[in-house]
Amino acid sequence: MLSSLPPGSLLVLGALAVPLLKGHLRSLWMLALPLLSYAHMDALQPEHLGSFALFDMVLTPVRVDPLSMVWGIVFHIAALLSVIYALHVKDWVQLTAGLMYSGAAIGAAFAGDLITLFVYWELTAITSVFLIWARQTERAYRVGLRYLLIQVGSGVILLAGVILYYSGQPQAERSLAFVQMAGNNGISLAEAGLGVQLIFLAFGIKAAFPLLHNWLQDAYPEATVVGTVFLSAFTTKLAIYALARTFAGETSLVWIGAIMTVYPVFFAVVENDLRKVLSFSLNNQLGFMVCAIGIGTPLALNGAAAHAFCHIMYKSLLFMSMGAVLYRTGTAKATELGGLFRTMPWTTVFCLIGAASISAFPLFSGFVSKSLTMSAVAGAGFLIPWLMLLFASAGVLEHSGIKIPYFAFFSHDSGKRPKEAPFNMLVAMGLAAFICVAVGLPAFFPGFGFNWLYSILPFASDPYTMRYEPYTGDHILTQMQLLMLAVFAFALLQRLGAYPPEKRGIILDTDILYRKVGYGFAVWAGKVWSKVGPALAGVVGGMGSRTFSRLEAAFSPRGTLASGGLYNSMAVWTVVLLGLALLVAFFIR
Amino acid sequence: MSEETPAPMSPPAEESKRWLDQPDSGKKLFWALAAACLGLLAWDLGYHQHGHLDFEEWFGFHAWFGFLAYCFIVGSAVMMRKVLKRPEDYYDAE
Repeated sequence: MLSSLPPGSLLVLGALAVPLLKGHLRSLWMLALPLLSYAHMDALQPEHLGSFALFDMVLTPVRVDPLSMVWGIVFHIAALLSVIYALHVKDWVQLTAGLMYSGAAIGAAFAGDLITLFVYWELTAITSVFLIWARQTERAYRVGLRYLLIQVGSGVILLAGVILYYSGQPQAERSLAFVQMAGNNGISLAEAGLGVQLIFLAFGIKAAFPLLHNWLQDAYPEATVVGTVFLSAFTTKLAIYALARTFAGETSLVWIGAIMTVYPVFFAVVENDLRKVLSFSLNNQLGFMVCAIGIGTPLALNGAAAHAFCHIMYKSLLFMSMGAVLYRTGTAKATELGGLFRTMPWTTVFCLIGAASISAFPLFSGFVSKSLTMSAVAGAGFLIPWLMLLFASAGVLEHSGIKIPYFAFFSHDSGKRPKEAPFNMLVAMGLAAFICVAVGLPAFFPGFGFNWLYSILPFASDPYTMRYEPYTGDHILTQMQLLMLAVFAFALLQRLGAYPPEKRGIILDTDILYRKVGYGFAVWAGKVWSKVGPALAGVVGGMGSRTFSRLEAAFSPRGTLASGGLYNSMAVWTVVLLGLALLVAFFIR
Repeated sequence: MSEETPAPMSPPAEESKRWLDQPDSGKKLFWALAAACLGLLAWDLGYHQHGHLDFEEWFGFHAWFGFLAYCFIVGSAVMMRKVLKRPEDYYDAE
C-alpha cells in the first residue's frame, strides 16, 4: 500500500499529526518522518512510472529516474537537518508547515506530469508562507503576503502555460509529460511557443531570475529562525530541478545564469542584515546552476546537480549559524554584531566550514561541485559567461566567505556575550558541516569523498564525469590563487582602513517598482477616487443605497482595499490572475 | 517574536586573553597571509598550467583576477551606498 503513495507524501501526511503530539513523542515523530520517507523513496524502483488516465489526459504522479533521485536524496537530508535544527521549537505551526513544505518539494521532484507538478508547486507556496507568518510581526505579515502573491502567481502562470502547451499539440499526440521542452531537443525557447515560454517564466520566478528575484531577498530574512533554514533548501532548488528537466541546453540560460551570479554580489556587499546577505548569496549560487543547465551537456548537468546538492548543505549551514546568532542575540545585523567567537565557538567553527565550502576552497564541497560547472562552461567556449562566473566566485568569497563570519564572530567586539547555540542546533550544524567536508574531500578510498557525490549524479556514467578529477594541480593552484589573493585584498583594505564599515540602512533594488512606485500609484488612485467617488455617488444616487454602501466599504479610500495600501489589494490581484488563467483555459477549448 | 528574545549577556569584563585578542595577532595573521600568497605565486612560476582558455596560462592570472575583482566589488559598494542607501524604515509607510 505504501508503495502506491508518491515520495514525500509521508512527510505531508505525517505533518498533520504534529499538532496532536507533545514533548519527546513529537520530537521522535518529527525525526522519524524524514527517515521513513527516505526509506519509502529508496524502495521505489528506478524508472518506476505510476500513470493513470483522467478524462483524456494521462497523469504520471510518480516518475523515478536518476535526476529526480538526486533531488530526492538531498531534499530528504535537508528535511532531516531542518527538523533537528527545529527541535527546540514549540510552535506547531512552523513545524507542521516545514514538514509539509519539505514533503511537497520532494513530491514535485518526482512528478512525471505537469499537472502533478503544478499541484506540488502551489503546495510548496501555500505551506511555506506560514514559516514567514510564524514570526508574528506586522512586517512579517506583509512580507508573507507579498511572498504568497508571487509564489501563487508563479503557479498560475505555470498552469496557463501548461494549458497552452497542451492544447497547442496535435490532437492525437497530446501529452502532459514533464519532459524536455526546449534546448537539447533542438527547439529554441523563442520558437517553442507561448505555452512553453510561460512555463519558463513560471520556473524563472521561483528560480529568482534577475528582475524576478526580489521576493527571495524580501521574504527569507523575515522568516523565523527555523523557517529560513527550511525555506533556503527547497523552493529555489525545485525550480532549478524543473529547469534542468525541461530547458537543459537552452542557451539563453547561460547568460541569465551568468548575470544572476554577478548581480546579487553588489547588493550582498552593502547589505547590513546578514540573513539578507545570505539570501543574495543564495541567488548568486543559483546563477551557477542555471548557467550549467544552459550549457546542457551531461558534464554541465552533473555540475548543476552536484552544485544543488552541495549548495543546499552549505547554505542551510550558513543560515543555521546566522539563525543561531539571531536566536541568541535577537539580531542578525552586522552593525550590532561582532566578537561572538568568544562565547559561541562551535557556531563559529561550523559557520567557517560553511563559508569555506561556499567559497569553494579545496577540501570543501563547493570546490568539487563548482569545478564541474566551470569546466563545462569553459569547455563549451562561453568566454564572457566564464569570466562572469569567475568574478562572481570572488564575490561569493567576499560576502559569504568573509563578510558573514567576520562581522558576526570577529571584527570589533560588540560586547555581546551570548550563550552557545542550543544543543539541537549544534547537532544540525555539525551534521551539515560534516557533509560539507565529507563530499569535498579527495577520494582517498574509491567511493568516498567526491567520488560518492559524483556517483549519485544524474549522468554518473558520462565518460567526461567519470574521468573528471577536481584535485589536479591546475585546479588547486588556480582556485587557491583566486581565493587567497582575494582574502589578501580584504586584509590589505582592512589594514589600510579602506574597507567600508557596515552601516545601518537598506539598499534600493528593483522591488522599488512595486513597493514604492506601485504603492504611490495606489495612493494616487485612492485620492482620485476620493474626489470622483462623492460625485459619482450623486450620479448613481438611484442605485440602491445598500449596494453602494457595500461597494464603498470595499473600494473607497476608507474602505478595505485602500486602508491597507497595496498589500491588501494583493488578494484581489491573485483573484484577477486566477481569473485570467480561467479565461485562457476557456478560450483554448 | 517569543523565540527571538535575547538571552541575558554578561559584560565583557576580566576574560582570559585569547590569542585573537592579543594586539599583534592581526598583524601576524596579515603577514602569514601575505607569505601564503607569495608562495602561491612562486608555485605558479615553476608550474606549467593547462587551462581551457589561453589567458588562464598567463602568469598568476587567477591571482590578480581575484585581487582586482575583490577591490572592484568593495569599491563599488562604497559607490552603491552613496546612491542607493535609504533609512531602514524607508518602506514602512506601506
